Amino acid sequence: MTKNIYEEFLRLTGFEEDEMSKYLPELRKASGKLGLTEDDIKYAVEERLPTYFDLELKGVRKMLGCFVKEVIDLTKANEYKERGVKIVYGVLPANIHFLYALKLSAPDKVFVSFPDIILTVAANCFFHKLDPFLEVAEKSGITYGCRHCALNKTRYAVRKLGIIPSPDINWVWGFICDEAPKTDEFIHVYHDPGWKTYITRLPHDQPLGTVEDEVIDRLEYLASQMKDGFEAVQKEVGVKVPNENIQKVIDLWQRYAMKVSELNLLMTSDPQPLDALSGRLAYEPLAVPFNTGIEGMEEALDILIREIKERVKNGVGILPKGAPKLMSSNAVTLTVPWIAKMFEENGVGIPFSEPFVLSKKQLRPPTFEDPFMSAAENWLRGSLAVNPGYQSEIICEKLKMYSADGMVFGLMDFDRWIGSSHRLLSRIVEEKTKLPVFYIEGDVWDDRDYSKEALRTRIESICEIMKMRKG
Amino acid sequence: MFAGIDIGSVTTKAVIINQQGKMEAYSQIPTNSDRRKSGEDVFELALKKIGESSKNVKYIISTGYGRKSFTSSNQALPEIICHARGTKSLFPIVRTIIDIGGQDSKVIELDKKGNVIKFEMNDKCAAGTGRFLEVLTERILNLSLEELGPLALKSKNHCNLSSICTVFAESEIISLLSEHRTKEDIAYGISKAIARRVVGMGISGQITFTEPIVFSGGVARNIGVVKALNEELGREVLTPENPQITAALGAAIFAEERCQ
Repeated sequence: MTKNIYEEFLRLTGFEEDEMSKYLPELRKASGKLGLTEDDIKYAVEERLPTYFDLELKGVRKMLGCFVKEVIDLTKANEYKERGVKIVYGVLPANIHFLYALKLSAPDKVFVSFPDIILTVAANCFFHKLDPFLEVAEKSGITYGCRHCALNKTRYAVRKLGIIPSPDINWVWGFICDEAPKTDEFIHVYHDPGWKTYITRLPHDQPLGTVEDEVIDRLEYLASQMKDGFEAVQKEVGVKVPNENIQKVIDLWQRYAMKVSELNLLMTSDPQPLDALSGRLAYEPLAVPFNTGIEGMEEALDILIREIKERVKNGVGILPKGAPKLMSSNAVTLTVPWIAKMFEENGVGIPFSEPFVLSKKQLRPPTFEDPFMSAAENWLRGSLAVNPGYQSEIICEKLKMYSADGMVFGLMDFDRWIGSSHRLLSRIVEEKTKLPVFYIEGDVWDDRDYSKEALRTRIESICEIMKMRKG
Repeated sequence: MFAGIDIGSVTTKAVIINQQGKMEAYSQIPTNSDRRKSGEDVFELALKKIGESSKNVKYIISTGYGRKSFTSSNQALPEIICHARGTKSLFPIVRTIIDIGGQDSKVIELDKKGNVIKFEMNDKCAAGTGRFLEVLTERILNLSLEELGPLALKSKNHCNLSSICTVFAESEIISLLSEHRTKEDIAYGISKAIARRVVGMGISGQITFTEPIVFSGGVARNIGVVKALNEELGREVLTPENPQITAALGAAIFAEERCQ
């Protein structure tokens, strides 16, 4: 039984038979390090994964598998470090191009990861077992109820527990979250004096409505900050990355992003051909670097796109034809999967996650040849780190592009900036589009305070309102 | 006949309407730990009042916190939608509903056609709800809930409760009593705290408080809170004759519509 459940887990997550001999012992070892029991694996196999993912689709299984490989790899980071591999971490929502470029330039000498997001997703999405990590953090410095998010707490806890090694450098971007650098100070002071951090910042001083990617001073400033940060990282790990490798990565990211956009367009089909969470898996490499590479995810995405095209051709859907479709800022989250599922169970699709639905500008080729200017432009073309006036313009464009019937903001109340700016955005977007726009108070990483039952009335009410509006 | 059952955190309500949409009976009981049984008991009580049997009820919709546990219903709907439908049947041009129940409070905005366009609810905290009143009134002031409203209206110089946390407000009231503040002034201070909390919650949810504003839920029977809401909003709120049954009434109306 012991052997079977681990094997079953690997099969369910798209592993091929010839991969079993390599990955079965590695999965067992990784599970042990993460405190996962056989019962946890059994729960993932029998309940968690079948409930929240469309496992009939090979593309979905393969994507889950890529995630499993990444988690296993992360649990080996201590061994890598012992072998002299340089460890480089980052924290959401940093630009990932540079970390991929580092990996591309020295694949065997560098390990890159956003360890907190990888482990938070793995623990909660697969096993609903993030709480032990959060409790470790809360008992030893980052108290329960403080504004630090579950990602920060997880980073703190897994370092304290020794699951991940001290990085040669942790490159933190204080673009949105200025709490992340504070977590690094906690880790440095309380548990690991070797925890070394480089912080890149971008002031939010642009007037409301400024089209930030067209302001040359701002682009140059951001590009220079990225360059300084990347130089510090290269110096620390002793690897020199040629500019053409950064450009290669930008091109690769763009190619993957185009495929994600194709999937998003397929999601506009009526009936909706795929559930939001299964589709959400494809977004991950756009925001999080995979040390194991992006190729596996790209291959899985190609398979998924073919499978979804087949469904569209045959009129197969997961919701009735004509069901309302919402775009959301954060409601489709792998860490608290029941949120998206609850919308779908109540007859409303939530297929588009705004930060990962690319705007027309994001899909355009870069204007600049310099890779840092190009990366800065790419960043400011997105909606994450720009002023709410411009952000709302981008969101309105996406709502129209994807024919969404409304928008859901919120679920980021732990964040002192996003928590309030989403309220402002919901008002601006509603006024501009005249579409129904909702705000849900909650937490996308951690569902201890905002349980399923606590949010049920809100979500079901939104669904009823949408269905009544659409007739 | 059609029925709506509202299983709230503190009370469970039932409304039965006939084919013409006229209310035949309603009933209310305290919710017990077995929410399904609470639903069955209140339904039976309403049927008993008119000498009817459940066989003659064509469609039942349950709502409220315990709506999913009432397995005898044909459908479960969230109370936001049911409050709106029930209140609209009583006040056809209602544009804003303030509902303060046992453990939650809601502000609901409707368009001119009576469709819900926006709502806001309290989150993790029971401040500004019936439970807040109950704890402060019965435990600290030794008053019944029924006494609180009339007493609050006698206030000449109401207290300002700085805290909106039920637990901290409790210690604040103990301090006020030791300072010999009158129960009248404290009672109205409590009413004002609830009004401030609920109106502030609505504003943060971008509710415009367009008139007519209807105040429903069990707390709407408290005339002190009604007065405080009028003051806080600078406009008059209307209260139904039976403010605690609007969600059950809405559920019954939906039952009739959805049965067809």
